[in-house]
Amino acid sequence: MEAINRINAVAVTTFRETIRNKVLLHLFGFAAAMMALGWVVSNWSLGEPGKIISDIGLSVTTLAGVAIALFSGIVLVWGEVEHRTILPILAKPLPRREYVIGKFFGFASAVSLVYAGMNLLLILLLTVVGEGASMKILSAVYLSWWEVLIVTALALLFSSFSSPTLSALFTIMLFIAGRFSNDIRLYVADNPLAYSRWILESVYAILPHFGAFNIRLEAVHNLPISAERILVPSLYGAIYCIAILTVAVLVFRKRDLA
Amino acid sequence: MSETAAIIADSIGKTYYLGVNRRPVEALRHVSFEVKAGEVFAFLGLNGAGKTTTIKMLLDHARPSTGRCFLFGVDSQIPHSRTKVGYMPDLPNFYRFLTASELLDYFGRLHGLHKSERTTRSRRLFSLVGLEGRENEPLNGFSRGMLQRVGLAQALIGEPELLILDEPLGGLDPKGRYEFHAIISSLKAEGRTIFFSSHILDDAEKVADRVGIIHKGTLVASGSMAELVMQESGFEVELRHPPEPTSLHNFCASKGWSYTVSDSITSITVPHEENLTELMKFALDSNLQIYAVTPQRKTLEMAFISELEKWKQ
Repeated sequence: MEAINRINAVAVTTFRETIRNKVLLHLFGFAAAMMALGWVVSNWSLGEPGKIISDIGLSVTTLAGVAIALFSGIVLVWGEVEHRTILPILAKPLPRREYVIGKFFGFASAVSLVYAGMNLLLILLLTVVGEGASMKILSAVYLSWWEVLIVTALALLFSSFSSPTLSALFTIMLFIAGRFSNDIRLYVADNPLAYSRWILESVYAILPHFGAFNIRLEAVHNLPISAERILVPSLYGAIYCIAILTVAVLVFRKRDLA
Repeated sequence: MSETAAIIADSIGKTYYLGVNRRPVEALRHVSFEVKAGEVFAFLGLNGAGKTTTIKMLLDHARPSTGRCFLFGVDSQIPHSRTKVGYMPDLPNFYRFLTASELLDYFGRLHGLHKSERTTRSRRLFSLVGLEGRENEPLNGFSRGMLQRVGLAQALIGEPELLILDEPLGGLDPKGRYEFHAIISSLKAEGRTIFFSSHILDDAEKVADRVGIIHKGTLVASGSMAELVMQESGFEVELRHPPEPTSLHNFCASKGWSYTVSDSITSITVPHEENLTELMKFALDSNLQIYAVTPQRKTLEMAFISELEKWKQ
């Protein structure tokens, strides 16, 4: 119980500190402007403006969510060590694992709130054009949220031991590789060499499968989406985040604070 | 070493590996000391001597390469060891977008305090450090001295039995320093143990019971203030004499004692108590009037310099 209280304290403070940072507001404004542009473009199209707004809106909110998670996340722990705000915190009876977990929950909550705000704006726009938000659109928003959470966890992991530049580089590389992870699986199927198959299979297993969270096409074009298509990626996202956080805790546990 | 000591540093060493070729740099070399519960211990050294590195080991901000530290008998690598500890870093820095009151509330929560307790203690501490009325302002508008005060308040929120203060007076103006000395004295009177690092010897002399001197990562001296500072280092004798005190000056010169002359008074510095008796006898035999006898005491500064000199040899 004491551990939960301490984690909660770290999370609440991280949430407050993150949400008051104006960078988030700027990224929110950018996403809103992009969605407004989508609305303008949809007025010029021949029929189905809702599809255009949904298509642009879902992509913009996902990318903005990922950008917020990435650019704020890479300085999350690094910034605390660099500016020495971490010293009085870790001088309290607070185990480092609780600090890392609290940081993740606080930061993920702030990013999720901004992400929710952007999607609320999207739903508002869809309502204005007479489409409203279907369950499929909401499902697409929900699954993209897992994508944002994984990027948050990755950024936190890298920021716990490296500089913002390297953390950004690692996270972006993993984000791009994760988006194309399915291609590795296809390549493995065609590769006859056993050892390279083993390497590629290992790489495939480690990479985050961001493709699994993308049901935007199905949502925009009102194609069928099974419950399994939502539940399995959710479970995968949760396990992946826990695995990344575990690595972050192990890395940060014995790190010397400069 | 006693198990009830507030701090035990047992042969701690720290080697950092720098650069691409991982060049080893020894920041600490087998530093051992003990701070008893209830005492004020000043940890002195020049900039870069290893004071902050030692504090990092005590608080598990960094792991020692050799040796171990204990806080109230608990290994300092266990977070529970810091339950009764308050720490104020050198040039404290806090979350910029929080208010001072939110920050204190946060640290209170990390100590497991209930809401009402956090509110009561925060109010009292803001008053103690002179920040009453500023508690709801964001910390990004605070001056260095004000952050130092917030730093002390957060260190005290858990009502710690041991306070570890890293260069606590660095950012304070003279008024702030005076107030800080008063706070330290009152905390000492409450029976709290205080360990503070400083390169300002005057501060240590005013409040410390015991002193440790660190130089280039090695603890070169440690002991009570009396042992290090108050030891007598001779006497100054002032004798009133007739206009031409040639015999007196010749006597001093023959003994190798230094003296200065001002009007009708000669001030002589003798190194030992037996020399004092010798000089007194000479003064009485020569009908010289003894104006004053003052024991000469080492200042902490003199002790500090002398310990560094000894270490160099």
